Amino acid sequence: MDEFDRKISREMKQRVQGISLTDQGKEQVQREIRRPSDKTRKRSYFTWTVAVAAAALFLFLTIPLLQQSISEQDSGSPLPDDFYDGMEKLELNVLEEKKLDDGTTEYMIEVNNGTKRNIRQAVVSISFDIKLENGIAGNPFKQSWGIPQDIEAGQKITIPMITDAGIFKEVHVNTSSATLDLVGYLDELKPENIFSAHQSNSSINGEGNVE
Amino acid sequence: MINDDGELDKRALLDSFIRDYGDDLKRIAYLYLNDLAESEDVVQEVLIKSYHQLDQFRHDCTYKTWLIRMTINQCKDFTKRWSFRNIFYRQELDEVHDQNLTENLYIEQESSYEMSQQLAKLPAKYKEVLILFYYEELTMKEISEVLQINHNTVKSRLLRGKKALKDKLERSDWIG
Repeated sequence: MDEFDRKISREMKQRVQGISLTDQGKEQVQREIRRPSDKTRKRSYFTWTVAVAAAALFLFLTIPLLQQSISEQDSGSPLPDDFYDGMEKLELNVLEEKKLDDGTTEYMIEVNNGTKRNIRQAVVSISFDIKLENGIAGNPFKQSWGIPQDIEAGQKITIPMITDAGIFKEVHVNTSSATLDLVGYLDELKPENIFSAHQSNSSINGEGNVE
Repeated sequence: MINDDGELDKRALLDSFIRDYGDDLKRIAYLYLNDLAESEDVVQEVLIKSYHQLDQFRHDCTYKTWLIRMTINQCKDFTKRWSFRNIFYRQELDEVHDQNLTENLYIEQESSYEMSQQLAKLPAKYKEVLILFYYEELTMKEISEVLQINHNTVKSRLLRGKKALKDKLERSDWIG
């Protein structure tokens, strides 16, 4: 270990000094592991009570909606229940971050459409959480890029996104955690097919500026 | 099926995991994620998972190695996790995350703040090696065992990760 190594090692240890698993955390673990073995009749009654209550609540809430949709014939056909099935296979990833000479930063964003659907007229946005004195907050400011071509089912595309240094200043925002959004149409260019996806990347993958 | 004795053994083992490794695992997760609440969640999930997977543990490494491996993997999953609840109902402004004040007293020691900020920006494959090398002070052989990757891969990632961190720190306010 050289001097740099020793300093980093020391600072890492200093950084986490005082951090420990909380008592609530320990209790939560114990509670979770007790749960599966606790198969009492009482729990069974409780489960059924909750299930019946949930079903009643569901009917209570959906009947007015169904009546409304029947009465509004012109509002278009409702989407099938499985319309968004498999959408969890859509992934947005930050592959690489590169600082440019003009002070801006270029992010290589990968959109991996692992779904069986075509995504059309997609707009991808990037944003970074705002640093606060005692935490972080979401950032209403985003930078967006339109993707001119369709992203077909199973297709993976990479897009370079250059962020404006004036909007995302490192002193104000947490640049280590990018928030990515994608808005687009699923299969057909119809209003009811518009969808949005949101993903946070707490770390930037790729080689960065390593030679 | 596990009999009552087996169940007791498992619980005793879990208690020892919490007691002996809980804090250390949370610190590793914190260095990886740079977020206290998330690191607490990660360690809870790891401990619960370890309890349920104890029967499959092959004893080809120590419990500590196994738990650190699970923690690193859980952190990776955490950073890539989808927020399903937000896909269609996302609020423009997320809530402010309050953090534990007692812990803040410690982590607000600014001398190491810049280093951890720059560490958090590194690619996952470098970050995990650096944390295990600098914080856990594991050897390259031990790191390759934890991460289940080749010894030479550990060596090159350590060199590249160290260089990347050094470059970032030199361009920042860090006092080296």
